[in-house]
Amino acid sequence: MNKYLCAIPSALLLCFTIACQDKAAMAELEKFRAQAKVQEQNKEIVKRYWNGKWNERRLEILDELQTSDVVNYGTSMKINNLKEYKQVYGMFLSAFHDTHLTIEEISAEGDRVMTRVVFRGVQQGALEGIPATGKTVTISIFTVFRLVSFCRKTRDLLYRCTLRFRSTHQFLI
Amino acid sequence: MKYPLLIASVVILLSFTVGCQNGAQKAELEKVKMQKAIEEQNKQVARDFFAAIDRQDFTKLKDLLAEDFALNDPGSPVPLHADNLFAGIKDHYTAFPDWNHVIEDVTAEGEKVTVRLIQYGTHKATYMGIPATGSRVHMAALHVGRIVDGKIKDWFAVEDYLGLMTQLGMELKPKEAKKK
Repeated sequence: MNKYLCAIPSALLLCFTIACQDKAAMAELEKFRAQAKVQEQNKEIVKRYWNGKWNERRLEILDELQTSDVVNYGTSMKINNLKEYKQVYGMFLSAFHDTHLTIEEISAEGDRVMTRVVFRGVQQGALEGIPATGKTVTISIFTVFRLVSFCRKTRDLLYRCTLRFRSTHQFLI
Repeated sequence: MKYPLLIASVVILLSFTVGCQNGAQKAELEKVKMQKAIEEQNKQVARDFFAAIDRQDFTKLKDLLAEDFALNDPGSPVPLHADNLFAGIKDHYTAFPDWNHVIEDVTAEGEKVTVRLIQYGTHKATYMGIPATGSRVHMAALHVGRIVDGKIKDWFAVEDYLGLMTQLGMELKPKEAKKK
């Protein structure tokens, strides 16, 4: 009779040991899952950005998806904030018509997303001193985006946080 | 007499059930951890690649490249191979003997690694027809590689050649209109 009574606490101990050991593993797994989810969300934002910029041609896409202190590091130009970005984008929008953008490659790690896209457009407006040529250009663009959680205080004093990108490093060929 | 035995067996069964339920999640965790480890290894391969070029260590470079390594160069219609890459590196270092790569950021996902870097060097010999200027130049670049089993399978490099040529004294201007 006593033998069985001794078995119960040790079995219970075993049960708790197994359960507790898994808690740490579960927490770690949850962390990875959460990170993977953010990475997927980041990729979606970048896809929306490219689509909105050159397929839908919507100026508002910059307001929606960039932080106000966004910086673009291009090889021959640097854009220092959202206001400048809008100016540059506006310039390219009026210069290029029939624009189409295809995302060829997209990958993410942590807070960064890398894309290789192909931009196609017809130069029907003047661009930086080059008069309209009517020529169709096809460019490959490599961009590394860094995304952050951008929080804004809304009217009812609540913080609304969305994911936006704060910096891009861009290379064109 | 029966009860302790019954309780003991129920408790043991329960503990095994709890243990087994977490088995699937544990397997998932192991898979994720292994994937992360591979991604970290891939990042190191990319870093080693540039370090080997800096040292002109062609033995190490050969070791890092897969048998069927393909270099996708925007200037070439077909992919280039290891010997083309080595020849290109040798030519470049003849013109810029102190050329080195400073890695700014490395990102990895799955087999793909993206490296954002800046290269520096001094123009000591003729490069692309431009005689030595002695200028200290820099060139930003973005390289994307696919690494499988620790070997580089393919590589794509985008370099700011326009920036480099400008620093060497060249300028971009419209083509002469072919009139008359």
